[in-house]
Amino acid sequence: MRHRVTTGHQSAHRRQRLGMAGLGTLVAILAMSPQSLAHRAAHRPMFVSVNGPSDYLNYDGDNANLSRNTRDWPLTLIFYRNAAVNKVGDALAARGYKNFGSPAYEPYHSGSGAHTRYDTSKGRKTDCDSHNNDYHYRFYAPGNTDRFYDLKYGYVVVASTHIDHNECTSGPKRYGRSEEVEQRIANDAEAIGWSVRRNHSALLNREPLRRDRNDPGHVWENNGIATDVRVP
Amino acid sequence: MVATQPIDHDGLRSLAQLGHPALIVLSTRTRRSRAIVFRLPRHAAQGPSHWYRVRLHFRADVSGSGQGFGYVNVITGHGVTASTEFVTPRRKPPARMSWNTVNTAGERKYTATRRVVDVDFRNYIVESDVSSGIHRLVFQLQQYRGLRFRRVAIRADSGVERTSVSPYPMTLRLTASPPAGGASSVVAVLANTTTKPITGVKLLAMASKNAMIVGPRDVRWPSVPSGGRVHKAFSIVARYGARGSVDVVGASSKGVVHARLKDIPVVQAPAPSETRGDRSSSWAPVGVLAGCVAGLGAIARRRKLRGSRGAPARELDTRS
Repeated sequence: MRHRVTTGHQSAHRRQRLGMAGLGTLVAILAMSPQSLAHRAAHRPMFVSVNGPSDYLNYDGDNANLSRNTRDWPLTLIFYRNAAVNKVGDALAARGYKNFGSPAYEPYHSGSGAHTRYDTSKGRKTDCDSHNNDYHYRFYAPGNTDRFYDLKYGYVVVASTHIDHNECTSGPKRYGRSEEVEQRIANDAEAIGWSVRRNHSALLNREPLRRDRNDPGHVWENNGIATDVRVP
Repeated sequence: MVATQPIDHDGLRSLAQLGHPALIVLSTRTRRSRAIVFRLPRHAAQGPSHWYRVRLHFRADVSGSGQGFGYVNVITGHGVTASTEFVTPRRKPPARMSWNTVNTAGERKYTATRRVVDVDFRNYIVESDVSSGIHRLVFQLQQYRGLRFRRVAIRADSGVERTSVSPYPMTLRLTASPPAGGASSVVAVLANTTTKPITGVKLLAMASKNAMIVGPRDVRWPSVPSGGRVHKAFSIVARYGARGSVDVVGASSKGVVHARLKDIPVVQAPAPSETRGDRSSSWAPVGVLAGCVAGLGAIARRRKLRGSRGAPARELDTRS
């Protein structure tokens, strides 16, 4: 469980399931009012960190609040040791993550401060591939400085991941499969030359593969254990 | 030059005291300093009594054309312990340049139109780099895109420091006392290490599977003053085995802290009725429910068997 890696067969099966869900998803989305398009995480979101004293919520969100019903994607990546948003963004841009997405919000506590603050990130994503997928990650850190400090991990940036399907075409749009993008970015980080510990840090945000009850276009999937990427 | 004296008392051990009285000058050409050796004493670790941190004091002259970013880092072995990020804008001077520092206390951001700035801050060394023996301190520059460091002068009053100030707003220590009076005792002491009172303080204790807490498992205080401490003794008895562990969580307006004490000697509960009293109240409804379900199940099985086989009840009793 701790070292679970998505296999090609599993990925193909999931793509098939997503494909079959397409028409139903479109109908469901058209039938729903915007108010009902809230995403409900499988678990109650909580503040986590490797060691602290800074911590961050284990899900980002559509809005700057802590509601379980407005969570967007689980955090799946921890860039550590000497990470910063500028540095990570620059390096991954060279691997194709050069487009911007829509903003999401990450609650956090910086240092030993008690007040919850929110970082906003549009993240970066790739161009659409032949399956009409683009791969999107959003990195988070305190807004002023773009990195946390953790006594065990050093300078840290955390990220959520997901696939955007059909954003570049007129087909039914679907989003999700965070785990798959986590592994993809881990591969990219290894290609850059950074060391990667796959599925290493439990962030207590496991999401069984399923469509969200309120928004079937939102496909949850995460094993709850983040991949750590060491940035030199 | 090897520093033979370990850093075994509170205070700063400057670069001058570590054998490097002169400025350390880095630039785009020389991006990494030579290693400066320091020694930590036996049993050195990050907390709970003593903490180690670095002071980074330097003057940076930033040049370059166009947008970019760069870092002045202190490396203490496995990784970067203190770092300052500089970000230059797309436009040329006098456009504002920004720089920031992040440490355990939080983050600070500064902006200025000038390109020569002084930076002085402290940060706690990453845990993996604090251990007894010889360590190496290295200063490093990293620069990306258009930013260039023309000159960075590391002051001799930078260095390594030992302090008793914790980076955490609260500390929690557990100590076990030997079994006495039929129970072991674990004393939890929560201290406020900040300069302001912390409010809504709560301690909650949980025992390992083979043990249980006797009496209240949680306690609350409305506030703890700056530098103040609160304590609570939890009594623990064994259900089986001779050793157990206790987890205590402290929560307050400043966050959460956790401590665990393993392998505590615990004694068996003196009388089952006394020790189960605390648990029976919360588990009683479950027991009653389970009893009802078991009873109904037995009746149903008996009727089913009686109907299918027509055997007398006495025989069924022996089979079941």
